[in-house]
Amino acid sequence: MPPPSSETILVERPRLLDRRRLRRLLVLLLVLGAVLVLLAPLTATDQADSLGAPQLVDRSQIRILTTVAMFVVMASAWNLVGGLTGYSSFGNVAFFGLGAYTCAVAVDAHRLHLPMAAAIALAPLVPAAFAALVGLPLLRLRGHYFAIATLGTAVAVGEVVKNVDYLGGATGLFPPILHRADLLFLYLMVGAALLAVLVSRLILRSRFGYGLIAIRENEEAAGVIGVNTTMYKVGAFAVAAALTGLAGGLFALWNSFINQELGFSLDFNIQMILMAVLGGAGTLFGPVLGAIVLELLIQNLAGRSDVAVYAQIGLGLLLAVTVIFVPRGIVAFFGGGSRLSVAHLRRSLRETGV
Amino acid sequence: MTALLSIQGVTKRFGGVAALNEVSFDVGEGEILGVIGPNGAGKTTLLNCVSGVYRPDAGSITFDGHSIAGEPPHRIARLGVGRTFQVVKPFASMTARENAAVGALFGASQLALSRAFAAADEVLEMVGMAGKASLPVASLTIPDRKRLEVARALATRPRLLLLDEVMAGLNPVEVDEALEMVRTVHRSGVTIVLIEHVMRVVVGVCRRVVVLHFGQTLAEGTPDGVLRDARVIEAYLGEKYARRLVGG
Amino acid sequence: MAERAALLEVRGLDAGFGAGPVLFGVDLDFYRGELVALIGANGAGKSTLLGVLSGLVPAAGGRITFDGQDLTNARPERVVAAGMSHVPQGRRLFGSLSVEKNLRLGAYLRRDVDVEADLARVLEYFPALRDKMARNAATLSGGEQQMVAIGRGLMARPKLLMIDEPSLGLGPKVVERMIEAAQAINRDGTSILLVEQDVVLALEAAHRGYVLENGRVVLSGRAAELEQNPAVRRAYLGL
Repeated sequence: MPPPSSETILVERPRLLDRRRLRRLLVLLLVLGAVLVLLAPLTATDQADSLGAPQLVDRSQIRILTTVAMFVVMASAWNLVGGLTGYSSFGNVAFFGLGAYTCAVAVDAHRLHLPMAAAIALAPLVPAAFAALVGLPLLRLRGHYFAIATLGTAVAVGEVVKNVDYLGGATGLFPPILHRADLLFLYLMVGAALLAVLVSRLILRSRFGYGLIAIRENEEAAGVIGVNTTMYKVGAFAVAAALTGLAGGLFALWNSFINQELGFSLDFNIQMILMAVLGGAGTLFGPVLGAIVLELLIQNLAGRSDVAVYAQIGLGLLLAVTVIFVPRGIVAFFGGGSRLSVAHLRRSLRETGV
Repeated sequence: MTALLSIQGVTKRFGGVAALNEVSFDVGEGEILGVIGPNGAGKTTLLNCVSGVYRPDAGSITFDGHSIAGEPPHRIARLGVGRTFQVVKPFASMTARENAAVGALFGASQLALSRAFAAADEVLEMVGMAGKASLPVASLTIPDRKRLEVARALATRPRLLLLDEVMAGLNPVEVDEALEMVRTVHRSGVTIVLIEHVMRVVVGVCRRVVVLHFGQTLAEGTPDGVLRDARVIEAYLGEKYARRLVGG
Repeated sequence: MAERAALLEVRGLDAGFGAGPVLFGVDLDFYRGELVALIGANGAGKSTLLGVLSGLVPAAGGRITFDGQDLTNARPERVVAAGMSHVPQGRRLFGSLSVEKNLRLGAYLRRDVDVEADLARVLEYFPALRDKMARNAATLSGGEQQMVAIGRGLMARPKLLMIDEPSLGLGPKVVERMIEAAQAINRDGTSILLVEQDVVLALEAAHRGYVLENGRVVLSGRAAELEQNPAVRRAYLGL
């Protein structure tokens, strides 16, 4: 009788080569597609006109792309706290609003009257400082308590802002309207999106990122290993706040108007979470994919008031289905960024008793 | 031999109950010290106080000359104290290698990411998991997860390693393998404190033993001496077991 | 000796979940009044087997017949009602409830009035619990919790009591008391299936034993014989 050995339950399956090749192909296609999409709007410029090039995109499409880019920033930012660190914040929109108001106040002729570039540079700083401040007490909470506390904070900040005259009170603020700036804001927002993805990638492959993931997996173990959990959590919170604030600042300038309803919109709040989770929380491209897919969906249904109700219901169902059947998001399906695959989906379906 | 770890008059209360009551003992550098006693005697509470998970209500804990009582866990880990948990706490979404690498990134090790994985492979080899480095935690058996827990703690380059019932649930052959692992770790220069119920381990590897009972030290000495102590037999071992041990 | 009908008969049991199949064609026979030990390495499938028997884990194939009834893939309530009671590994008490409530919950399915008598009986096996009835189960020591767990299992008045690793994390004296209690319970008429890591302990207390390895029964026989079996001694006693 052979001695009992500590055999593993599962033998690791060798990675199928074509899956990796498939992934590379997909990424290549995505990059090409992205480049095309980004260059296409240039056909809407006067220069392109004078060259006789056909206009491939119109104004409304440029706006949609800009909005998509904005959500890529917000979803990626949320991912740092909710996906990597495992603290599901339901109040990140507070940073969006704070960034928007910071920018609006900065450019306002009757207030700080700073040049646009300076305003944009300031937009991430105020939310980050705020995050560092409230993060210390908030991040002591976990799970549901943390979610509710952050939600409450966001709502509270919005209410405070509404009542401060310097911040425009109930009316809001009106950054100067810039003519023919659609392209400018598209590329600014895309730049912010690239920044968000770059920051995420840097974090994911750093000691900081591993520390955050350790906190998510088991905070107590992370502590005794030597991770300064408080500093790391607050750090992630502040970085997320900075990125979200940047998106908010750009939004305020682009929209030429910001008020409490727009800056602290619960819709935006939920959407950024949905996008990160649907796309794949904790991965690099998950929030990006989620933002693109979901925002395009929302934008396409936006004008159609007849389907508005169904759209809402549909979105809700989508979230429920995602969380139950594909808890790791779209990215998991294609095995990119995470180790999971369709096999895992099959297994998780079996386990949930379907 | 200077004491690497010195525990003096440590008291810890929960509600009205004193889980630890004026516990004092030293651990010399290079020792393997066993801590035994019935459940609820305060063994894990003691470990938690040393590793920073709890703050003692009274008393002092000195490690390598530094006062660590009440310090946060990460600072104590940085000084060179590593520990495992009774119920293992692996980083479930990572592979074995990644778990160990995280240890190498922090603690007293503080390696750069580029060197952390090589260090991870080293500790996995030491605990006997060389071939299983790329397996996800979910694929590991319980004994392997316990090994991983030790590996991860080792990766932080501790001078003192606290093992909390690492042998629980292992059958005799698995215990032997784990014992070998403990000896290997000790030979690499790590001072070890282990909490155990498996007496064979205590007798086999500990040079000294401390017995805790109701939060107080009941006895202290060599394994042989302590296990023949009438009070220890009465409180913890039981006559039958004592006879089995001493006779066998 | 007259041909005895088995109290529990398991034939060709296959089972597994999540990570893959764990049990392969397990055969077991269990007679009334026995104390049978189930030993094997970690991951061999001992706890899974108990899980399948008590209806917590689905069986992929095979048959379980208990006291004449087919209980293959029966719901846990039916298994308890039929007379098989499971004391799970790690105690699994209702921590925020009192000891008394935990025990009474063990008799949840029973409609007869004898619950009081059984409660008294449990306290006779475990007198240490007498003055702790009102305390929250979570505040008890590991050994006391194990007593409550076994007591809870007994409250269902089972014909067969399955105990999973009672010695886990407990000191020697407490374990000794636990095994003595199990033997007393067995002498009073309840059959016991004991899963144990401490092979010496298990084989000393049991009448018969089964050895499980990688999900298959590789050895079975009288406990005394198994203890002397060179393969068992080498593999499990490290001798």
